[in-house]
Amino acid sequence: MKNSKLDHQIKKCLQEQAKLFEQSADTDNEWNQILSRLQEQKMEDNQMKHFNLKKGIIATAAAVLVLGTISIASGKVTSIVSHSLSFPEYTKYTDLSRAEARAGVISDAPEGFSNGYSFYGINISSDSYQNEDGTAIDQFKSLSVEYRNGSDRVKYDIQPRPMFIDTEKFPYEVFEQDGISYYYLEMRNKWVPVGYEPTEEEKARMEAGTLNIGVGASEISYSDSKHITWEVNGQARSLFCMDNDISKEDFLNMAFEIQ
Amino acid sequence: MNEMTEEMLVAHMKLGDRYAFEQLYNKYRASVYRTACLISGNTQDGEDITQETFVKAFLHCRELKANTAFRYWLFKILNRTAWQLLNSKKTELPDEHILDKADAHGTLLTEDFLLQREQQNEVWQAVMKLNYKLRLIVVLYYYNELPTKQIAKITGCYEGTVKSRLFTARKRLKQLLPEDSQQHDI
Repeated sequence: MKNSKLDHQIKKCLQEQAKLFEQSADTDNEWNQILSRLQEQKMEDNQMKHFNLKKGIIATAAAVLVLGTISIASGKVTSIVSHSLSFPEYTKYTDLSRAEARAGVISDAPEGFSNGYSFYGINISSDSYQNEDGTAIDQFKSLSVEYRNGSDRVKYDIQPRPMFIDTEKFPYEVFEQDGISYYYLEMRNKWVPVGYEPTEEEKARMEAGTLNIGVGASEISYSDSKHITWEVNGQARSLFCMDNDISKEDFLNMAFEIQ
Repeated sequence: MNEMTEEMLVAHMKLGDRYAFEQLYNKYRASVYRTACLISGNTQDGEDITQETFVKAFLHCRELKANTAFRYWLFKILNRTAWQLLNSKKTELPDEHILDKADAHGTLLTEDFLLQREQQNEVWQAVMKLNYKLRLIVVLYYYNELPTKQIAKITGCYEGTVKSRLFTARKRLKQLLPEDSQQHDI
């Protein structure tokens, strides 16, 4: 192929055009979008959590504790479905404001706590409230900020919805700080695959508020969790940890530090 | 990054290592994006094609037999993805505002520069008037500077076909470009 003037023109044109395209590129979040696409496309590592309110107590791995009956304007909520990535979607604390905007929440999430827990990552989960027919009657996004201290993890979740607490049915301890009520609960959890039917004894323990069954795991397992739930400006906030030796006082102080 | 390092990254990516995938993404993102924009003629399609290309590359990386051929395999995916997208949309319009965006960066607009810009635009308009198959060959040959043998692998056709299409593309571009724009040096 001769190296003619036309060849030179074409080459020069494409090089200049490519530069112009690059100048107008918006690549800030492209990598995160690719990761999100991979998650949607393959559904590997997806942790789908399906919680049936009829069982009594629901504790999502994203740590929003919902008890009793939820009724919203669209109807009675009988289950919650939540989808999120198993790895952080955002890994920089400076991305917090962007994540908050996506979820429509204000988190006041700190970069670290005085007890040594520090920022690890952020996820956005897609949540929906469903009625008895399985129809989604409310859909929204939630923000989940993960903190770590060595191998110990704490998750801080914020939902753009009010919290739902049934203090008569479940043994919450209530703490007041700066005009806000913080609801503390320790729970034994059994994680089961979809389709699991609890035994009569398990049903009794669930009614008594001493056992939670979470559906969506690949195999049956047990864990102990701690939850703190409170509400700020109509948005439910919660701290959640599982199989963590952190004391009640230390855990509560973390909640108090979020302002 | 030498070839051996990339080969190792590809091998790790096949095992599901997302860090390795990210390294490969960082290496090839710019060239994939620019090529996608040149083929499609606009940044929106270019972004969609780029994203889809890398998603497919990760999902199907185990189908790549030779880890050393990653670059050409990636461009093969780009070609198929671009074809599917543009075929489904059946629009091949260039970004008409791309030159305005460049002007916003404060380039000194001398007479020579304006003439250059006009000739470049004429060449670009002519390239965009080529059908997809010819435009793809032109972009891979002139912008990505790939030999015809490699273009043949990417496009899945014989090397002779690539040369034939290149000849046809050049002839078509000559017909589309005004005579005075062909005679001036750029």
